Amino acid sequence: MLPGLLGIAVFYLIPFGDVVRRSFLQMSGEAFCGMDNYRTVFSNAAFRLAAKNTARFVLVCLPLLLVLSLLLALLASRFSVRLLTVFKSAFLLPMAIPAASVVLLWRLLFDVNGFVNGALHGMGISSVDWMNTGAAFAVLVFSYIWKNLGYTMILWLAGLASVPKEVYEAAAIDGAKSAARFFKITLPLIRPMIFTIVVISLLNSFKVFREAYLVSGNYPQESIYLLQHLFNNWFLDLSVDKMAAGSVVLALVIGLFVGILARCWEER
Amino acid sequence: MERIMRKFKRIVSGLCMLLLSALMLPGCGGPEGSEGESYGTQRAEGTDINPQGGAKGRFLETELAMPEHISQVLGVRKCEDGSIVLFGYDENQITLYRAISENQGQDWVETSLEFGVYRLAAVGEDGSAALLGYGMSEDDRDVFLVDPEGKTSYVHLNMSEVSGYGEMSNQILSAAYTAGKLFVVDLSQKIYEVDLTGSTTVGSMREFTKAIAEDVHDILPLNGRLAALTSNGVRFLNTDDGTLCEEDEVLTQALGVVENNTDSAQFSVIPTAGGSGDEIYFANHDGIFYHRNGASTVEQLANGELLSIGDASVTFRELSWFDDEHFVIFANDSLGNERCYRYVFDAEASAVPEKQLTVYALEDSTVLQQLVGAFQKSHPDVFVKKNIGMTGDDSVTAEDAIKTLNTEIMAGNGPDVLVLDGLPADSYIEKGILADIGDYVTAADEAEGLFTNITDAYRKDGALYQVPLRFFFAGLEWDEEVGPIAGTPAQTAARIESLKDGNGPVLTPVSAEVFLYAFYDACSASFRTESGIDEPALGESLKAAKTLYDLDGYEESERFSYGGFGPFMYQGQNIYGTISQGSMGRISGQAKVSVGTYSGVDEVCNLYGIENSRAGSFGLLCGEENRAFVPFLSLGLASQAKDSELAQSFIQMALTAEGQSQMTVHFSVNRKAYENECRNVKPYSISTSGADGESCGYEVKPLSEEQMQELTAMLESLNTPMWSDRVVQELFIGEGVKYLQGQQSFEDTVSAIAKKVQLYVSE
Repeated sequence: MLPGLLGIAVFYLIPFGDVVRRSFLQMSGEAFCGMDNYRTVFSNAAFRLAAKNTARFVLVCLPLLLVLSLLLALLASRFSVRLLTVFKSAFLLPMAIPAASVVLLWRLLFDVNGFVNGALHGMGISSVDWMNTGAAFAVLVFSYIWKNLGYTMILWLAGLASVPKEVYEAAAIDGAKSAARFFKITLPLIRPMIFTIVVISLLNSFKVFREAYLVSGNYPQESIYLLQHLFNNWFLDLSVDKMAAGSVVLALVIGLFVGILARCWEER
Repeated sequence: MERIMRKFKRIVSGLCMLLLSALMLPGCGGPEGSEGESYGTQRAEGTDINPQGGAKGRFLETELAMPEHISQVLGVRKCEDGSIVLFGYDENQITLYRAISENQGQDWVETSLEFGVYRLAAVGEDGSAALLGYGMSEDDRDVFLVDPEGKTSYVHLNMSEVSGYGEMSNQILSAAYTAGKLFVVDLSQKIYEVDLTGSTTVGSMREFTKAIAEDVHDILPLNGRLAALTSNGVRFLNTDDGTLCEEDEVLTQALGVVENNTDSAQFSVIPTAGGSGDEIYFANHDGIFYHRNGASTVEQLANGELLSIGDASVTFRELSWFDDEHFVIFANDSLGNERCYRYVFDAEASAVPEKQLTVYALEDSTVLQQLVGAFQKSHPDVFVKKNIGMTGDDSVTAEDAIKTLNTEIMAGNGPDVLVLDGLPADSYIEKGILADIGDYVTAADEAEGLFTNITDAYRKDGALYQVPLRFFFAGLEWDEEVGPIAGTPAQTAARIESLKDGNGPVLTPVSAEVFLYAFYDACSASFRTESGIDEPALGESLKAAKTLYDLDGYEESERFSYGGFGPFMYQGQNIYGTISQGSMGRISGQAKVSVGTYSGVDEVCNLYGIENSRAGSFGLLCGEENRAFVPFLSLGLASQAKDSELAQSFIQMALTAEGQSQMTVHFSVNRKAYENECRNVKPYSISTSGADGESCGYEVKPLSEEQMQELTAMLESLNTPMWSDRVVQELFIGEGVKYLQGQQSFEDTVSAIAKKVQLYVSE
């Protein structure tokens, strides 16, 4: 355990400790400034917009991903081994596509003169400027779901496989219907898995920035302006003080969310 | 006990091995002992200061005066007796001179020769020479022969016609005179030997070699051989029979593909022969090199980074080898001035400079290289290390480069001097990255006079953290018949629009980007506010640009972007379409008004020339509210500079007339340097064909006192720097192009720019 802890300390804990330290210092001269950096960050309109967009993205994407992937997993669990392999491969494929290719695909699909608008035009629907209107948010959500659906489904499948078949057989003999079996047997038994999947999906949701950044640059349409855009721009501006305070706030929020989630699971 | 002894022996023998290895390592980089390769000073792989400062010996550069009467060199060569023979014209290109130096270019004896119109001189080993004209007409095909004693004779060159060149028919591109034989390259880019034997007055041209299939650009004599600079690299030929010498792959690779200017016999690399037959020396922008035929390496004798020849705009004429410690290079600088540099090996000088100054720039430029070269020349003990963020050799973007720079700064490894063009200067000032340089700027103003309206535009609360060395601005040039054009963007656009009378186009067909860059340069200061952007003012500029763009109804493909069309017009440095290029359309009767950039004194001389030829006038673009200028090469001193004194002296020198005199683009902030530039413009003429196919042109002359006063008043009237922010400028140009080309509505464009700028500012 010690080598692992050492690695985590060197690469995560100590650097994060420095970030916490810097969040109480001025960038110029490194003088102690108390909570000034935090006050600056909370009064910053860009931070508020980015935080709002990030929270909105997580709140929309996370439930959507969990439900869709669970439904797919339930469906796939009934397939034969051969069909399941094909099904899993098909849904895992997006994860194997490099970000640069995904970006190219995005542009081909969602450009004003792209394939999606071409299809809409064919159906007599007026075209949409996907990347420069509020529709950009929907594109971002779609991209996240498309990329992570297969992986999350695999996680669910692993959870479902851990439920003993005998329990289902006993329930069937007792006359339990499908819905009752799902809510009374499946969900309670895969409950430890749900915690892991939620945390992994939450962390994965922050990785969607890469595609958004590569497609729309530092200043995308305002609905997809995320915290990572802001941190990236603050670094370009050498606003280390604001970046440190913002990072600490973000870490606290994620920590709090995961803590509450863990507490809920423990209580049950 | 025995086990302990065995263990002890193992430890001791291990330590011995380590010690032996450590002793052997320095030998790898120690003095070269191999024959013919003991000239080593520093290696080709970059230069860094030597912390130990132990190694000694380096080539030091001295610039020598050119022969007093010669301002244009036709040809030069070191002869067998060690003298240098040079042929050239005086500044009026009237008198032809032969100059001979017996002491490696330090003193010259000049004699005037019979008048003739020649474009190049091929000098032989014995000092004799063949001077060749343009050869475009029968009368112009005489070869003027000068023997070592100065006796002259003529031979008429019997040239064959080359198809595809119309009236030009044929001319000599290059010539080499060696062992009494004259070799020439004509427009067909083949090598010919000219028969000069006997008493014949007609020199017939015989194709010299068929061994080279590719095009030959130039030829150089090389110790009984001929070096042919071809499109595929350098080939060596025997002068006796035209056969190819055995290829030396190492040398061929080191010489690379030679870029040359076929008009003036100047090269990006110049080879010469050494003392023995199998030694070759060559010079390029990376330095001076030595190679022995068949050897597996090429030795770098002098590092170009420390010399004037490191300037990428320098072109080479001749490399003269005297012995292993003395070289002379004849070259042309970026202004076309003839230069002579002497290199002498100083065994006592440290192998690499003892001090190092780091200068960071997001992008490299000729001006920066010229400044660095000038500083190094005046400080031979200092190595100026240029750190370039975006070299163009990889896919590093401006953001990547800035992130890397910020990381270095935070780690305490930042540069000493920053070129702030494209960098977040305001942020660096706010974070205390830059030091106050107000005192040096004030001192420079008191010593020589600066355009303080430019330099003090950046002064805040008495402190000055950045100073531009050069500047330019956007303007208009118009036909006298249409009268003055001035006012706000809307008024300017309306005035130009009113000139549309169905009688030909109004404007030169420039691209959307050229219009947008001009309007950004002129108007961005007007739409900048404390909290973001003034949308109505932004909209007015965009609408004005759109009006002008749509006025003549050109397709985008018909428009000029001027990209890569001259020294001033590259997008990376925000110079995009100079006004005189646009005014060429006016002079040829294809436009009435030109919009673009005043890129420097030479540009204004062109405008005066155009107005002399076809009456007109020029002024600032939208100079009603703000008379905006674009800063160029803004320097900042790092507050954490490792050698603050050295960094200060770099900035101080950059502000002096001496430092500025090395720079060749844009207007100087130093008044003395600016006045020198105005007076020292070399006269030349430009011609083009008009709308009716007739030839038309104009003369460019140095500015008269009256013109200089007029220009000075214009420069002094500039009062606001443009909004020098890479992010805002990219948004304006990027979204603006969509609007001008009809891909986006006006409202969407203004909204997109305003929202993003608002977001950017609020960060």
